Amino acid sequence: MKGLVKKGLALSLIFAFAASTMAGCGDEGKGSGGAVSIVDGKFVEPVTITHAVAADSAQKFAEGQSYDKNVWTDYIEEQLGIKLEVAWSADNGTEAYGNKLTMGIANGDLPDIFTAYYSTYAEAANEGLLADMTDLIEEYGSDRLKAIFEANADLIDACKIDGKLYCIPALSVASEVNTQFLWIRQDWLDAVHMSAPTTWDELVEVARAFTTQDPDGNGKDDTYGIGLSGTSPWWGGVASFEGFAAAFHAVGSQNWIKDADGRIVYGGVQPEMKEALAAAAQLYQEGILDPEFNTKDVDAVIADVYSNKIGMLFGMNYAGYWPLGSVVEENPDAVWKPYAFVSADSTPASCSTWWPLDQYTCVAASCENPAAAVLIANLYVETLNDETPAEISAIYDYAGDVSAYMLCPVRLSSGTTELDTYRKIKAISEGTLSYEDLEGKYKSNYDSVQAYVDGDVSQYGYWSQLGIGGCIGIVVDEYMPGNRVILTEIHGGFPTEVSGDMGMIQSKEVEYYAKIISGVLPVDAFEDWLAEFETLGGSHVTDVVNETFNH
Amino acid sequence: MKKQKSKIRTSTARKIFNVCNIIILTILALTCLLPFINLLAVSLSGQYAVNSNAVSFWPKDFNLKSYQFVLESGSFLQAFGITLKRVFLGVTVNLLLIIPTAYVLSQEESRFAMRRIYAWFFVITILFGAGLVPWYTVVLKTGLVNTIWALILPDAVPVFSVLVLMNYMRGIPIDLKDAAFIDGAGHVRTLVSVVIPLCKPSLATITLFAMVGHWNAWFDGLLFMDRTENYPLQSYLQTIVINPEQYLSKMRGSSSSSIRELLSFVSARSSRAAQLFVAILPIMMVYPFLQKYFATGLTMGGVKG
Repeated sequence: MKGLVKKGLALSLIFAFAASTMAGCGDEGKGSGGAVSIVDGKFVEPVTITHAVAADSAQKFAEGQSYDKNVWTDYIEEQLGIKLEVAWSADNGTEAYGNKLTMGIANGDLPDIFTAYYSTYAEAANEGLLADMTDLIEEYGSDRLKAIFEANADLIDACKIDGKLYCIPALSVASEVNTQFLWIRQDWLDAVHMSAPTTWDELVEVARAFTTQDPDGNGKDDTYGIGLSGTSPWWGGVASFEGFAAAFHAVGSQNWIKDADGRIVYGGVQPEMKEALAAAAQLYQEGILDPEFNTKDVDAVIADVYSNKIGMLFGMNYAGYWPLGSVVEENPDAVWKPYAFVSADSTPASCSTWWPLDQYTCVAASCENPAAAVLIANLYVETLNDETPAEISAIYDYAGDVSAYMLCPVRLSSGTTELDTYRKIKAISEGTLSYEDLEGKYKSNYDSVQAYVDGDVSQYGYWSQLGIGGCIGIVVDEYMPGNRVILTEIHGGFPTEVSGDMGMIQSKEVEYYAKIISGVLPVDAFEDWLAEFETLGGSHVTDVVNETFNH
Repeated sequence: MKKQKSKIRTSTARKIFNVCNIIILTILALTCLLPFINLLAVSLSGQYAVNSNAVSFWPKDFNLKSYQFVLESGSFLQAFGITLKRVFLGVTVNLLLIIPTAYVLSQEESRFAMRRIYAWFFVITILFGAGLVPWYTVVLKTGLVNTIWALILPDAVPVFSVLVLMNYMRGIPIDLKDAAFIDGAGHVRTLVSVVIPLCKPSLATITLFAMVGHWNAWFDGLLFMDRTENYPLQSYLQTIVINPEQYLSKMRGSSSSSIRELLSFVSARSSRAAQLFVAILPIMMVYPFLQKYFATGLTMGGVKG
């Protein structure tokens, strides 16, 4: 009797286990229905495509909509005969999304369509888990899609692995747009009766005046000239060191350049960087540079901007939307204006930029209808482009405060929207184009810029980016004609075999720079940093980079 | 006379000691308490004051908007509900498995010959882990992914708690169990009627461990849930308490329109503070009730009248 009970228990346990295992298998088999033919850019009978959602905790939905069912899923089903199913969603702000993908690759269990960073893309492609898109794009891509691919041929080529394209690159922005600028508080400049600096020496003079002449007029000695984040001097978006580096013709932002012999070298170990650090250390000693910069992350610098302590920053073209926009809204007199980088000598300063592509939309090799991704890409670029009329973009781009475009699983754009918008705004101001000829984004952007000019401070971001004298204006009228944009030599993702070493080098770099600027180490400690670069495997990394990108 | 003198001397030393003691302990207590007060103040303050770092320990531009936001935000309440469910199920499963395991392992070797081998069988899982991918694969292949059981079953037997309870049970005089056996009770009856009532302090401790463990766990939620709607509270909080800097660097290369969204996000620090505060409240309320058992439950092994 006792033995029987035991056996029964064991058996039922086995069954329970087997049942749960089978339940697990059942889910995996869902959604396969064999290859379906495509006529006129549409599947002849409905196909089901699963996709991974990189969920954004800030994403809002219209009433009754979700990642499972929304304007884009309906639109894609109606236009293309593709029924989208969410395989899984994971938070994109934490490691959750990346972890899920890694687990999927390890278990060979990937959704049909997903977006990945380069390292994951390369790993999955090398494991043979991705569909080859090269011919599919040729066969099913629309004219508009192909035109975008042709205009970005360099970027596309860099995504290829063994000569084949295993993804639809999420092109989004031209590298010239990714440049940085000198941002100055105009009301402070007026208060100290100075004009915008055009050389490094003038910049130091202005910064000195901001520090000593109480530009905010509160009677307290609580201001300083330049803000800088010591903990995030390159990637924070604002408060970067790029402007210091550029003034001395160093290449910052952890970018790579070709030296005189044609070899690719790391910008952070070139002798020009030492001069830039020396200049910054000088400013720090004088108290012109934020005396507490070395402990500050970007958040802390922004807090100082909010509380009227900083008058100058180096930052991206979007700094007018974030974080400076809220300052201007709160205090409309505190207008921050962008200017081109200044140089310490007669050669104009250049801004270095990173590779403008880091998202790759992949299709799993197990997907029976991989062309679906191409069709969705066609639909996306057809629906949302620079000429898209406002009533369409109000549905598929921004529906109220809902960023609907994020709901489409395959996204890419020409990347030249900002540059073209500025060119058109300039043409209108010069009288060579009439307002009536503007369409789509050009029109709405123009309206926003004009609204700020007419007194609506909430539109300050548009004006500072796209208006006359705005960031993109500086790019089009100064940076581009003067060849002052240096694109990194890392064309594509950083080689995965040495990306760990590079991570170590980069964090050491930040440490050394903060110490040198704040005088904890003398400027000559730059030599120690060079030695550390070698110790951490810098030459090996450089060799691998040259093997990969120097052809 | 002599006596008195020495008495005064000791009391001076004692006074100094007391003063130092009080100062040091107060500082320690404050370092623990002040971050919470700051969090509370931030959650009750206006947006601009928060963004300009003007809030320390007293709210500025006092308002309750953040809490209103928390109560009206569906995803927070949903995540809160999932965590309550997880804690309830998880603690129940934990206790149901810990108690019998500890009871069996606490038997004397004369009654349970393989005791040592079984004990090592459990202890090995503390010493060695297979790593992330096998962990995930097991949960995937058993079909638990995206169910609440993925958060409960993989750690259903917390071995450390088993050891704590086992040691405590060994301290129970064997005579008590023998008496029960003589009276005709089997092992189950002995466990339920004799051993468990004697183990209350230790049980309170491991219950607290299990509750806090389940309440605070976040990584498994991010890993095993296929839907962000199914994230338990701490995983959800992870997703909203992102460092905007990190967020920004991920957004690099994306168009300025996404940056515009970020604006609404970054200025939400006070609502984040409110959500954090609401999230720590329940577990803070449990502590005082169970804490009194803590020291005895963990350390006491000796026989007590």
